[in-house]
Amino acid sequence: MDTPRVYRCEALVLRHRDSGETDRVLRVLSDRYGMFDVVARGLRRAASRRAGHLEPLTRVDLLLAHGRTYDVVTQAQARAVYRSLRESLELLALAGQAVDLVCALLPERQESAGVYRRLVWLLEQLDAASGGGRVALLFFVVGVLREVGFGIEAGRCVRCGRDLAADQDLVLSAAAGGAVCRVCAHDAGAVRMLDADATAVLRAVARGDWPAARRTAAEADLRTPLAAALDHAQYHSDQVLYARGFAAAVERLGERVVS
Amino acid sequence: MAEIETRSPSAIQNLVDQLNRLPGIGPKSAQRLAYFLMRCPREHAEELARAIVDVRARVVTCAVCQNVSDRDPCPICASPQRDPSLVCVVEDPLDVAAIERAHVFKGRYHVLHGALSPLDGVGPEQLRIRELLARLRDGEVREVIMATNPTLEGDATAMYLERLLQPLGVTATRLARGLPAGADLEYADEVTLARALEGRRPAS
Repeated sequence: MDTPRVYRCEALVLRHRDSGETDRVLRVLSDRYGMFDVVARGLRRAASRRAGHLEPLTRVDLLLAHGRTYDVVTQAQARAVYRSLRESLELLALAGQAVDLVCALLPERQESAGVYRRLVWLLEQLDAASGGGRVALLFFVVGVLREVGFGIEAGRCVRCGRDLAADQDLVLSAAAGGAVCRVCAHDAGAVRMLDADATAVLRAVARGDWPAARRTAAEADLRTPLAAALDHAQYHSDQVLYARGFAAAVERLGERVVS
Repeated sequence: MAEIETRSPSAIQNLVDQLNRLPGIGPKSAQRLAYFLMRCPREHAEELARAIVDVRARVVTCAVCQNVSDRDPCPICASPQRDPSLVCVVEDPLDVAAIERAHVFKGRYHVLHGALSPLDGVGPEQLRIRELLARLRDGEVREVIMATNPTLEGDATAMYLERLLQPLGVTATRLARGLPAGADLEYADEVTLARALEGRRPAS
């Protein structure tokens, strides 16, 4: 039987780059086919009917035709454009780190429905603009790492296997693969030390307990656990997460405007 | 058994490789262009080669607006007819050419040479933002028009600049957003329609 010439999928547009005179190559994460590149013809023309539907961080229904190098977008209809998210620099910086993480961790064309659902969840959380963007990103990062097999161990020392007391502040080592006890921390390379509040959040996040993570995050400074989770992702994917630089620039801008 | 030579002669292959580096030119197009240049009249090929060498030797960056020009300052920055209190910020030199074609803007420009990208990690230090802030220091500029592209990156850049300009007391404005000429409402996306409605004007 012949393979159908066109197929449908639901996808999130992750990134885009210009191609040729007026085309764009889009990196999408789909619910059924994983992450892959597609080409959208004429997308850079001012009168393009599809351009607004295919901006990065848009959830879209796609009709794709099989192509030689890339499959070609023949129809696109936005399902969610996350308008509040795209109008805030801080939220964009958080979403950017999530997209960068997905691109670094996922192989092309490998079904990743779990990661897709998590990214849709994160974008909805950020778009709801009800605060708690950073804890949502932390929850997403730790969840995706677990899903792709690089989970962060927070209950026991990954070096010696000793259980860590529930009230003990965590010391995290990306190279070791999670929490290390005080003894093993000496030769675990670069580590990040979490205070009691941040530890409580990371433990809840590692358990996948979103209500507890949300509750404990109210008291905590989440910069260190988030940095530790992204260090972990960077170390195990062996890729630099460039979006962290943008997030740092936005944070500096906030301080500059406030001061 | 002797290996069959499948690659082009090395001089042609070198040209193919160089053309292949250009944006939008794939290996096949590079090969086509290389063979065209080999077959076209010698003087055409030499003119092209001279033009490429000249553009690198003669074109400079204007120290004021950061646009590419064969003079520093560029003709726009040097012109007394242009309003120095109005600065239009664009992403690329090609955007200056596009706005100039409309013959409606009488101010000056500032070219950022790119846009911030939250998703690819392009930060402010990679753009000519420091130079823009330096221009605003003497108080001559009263309005900065953000004419970045209506994309996620362009919007992020405009938002970033707005925040930077806030404490400087300069009016920051953005190009109007909405439906392009000749478009169908039926195909408009949610963001474009919302912005078109927000930016509506009295029908007089």
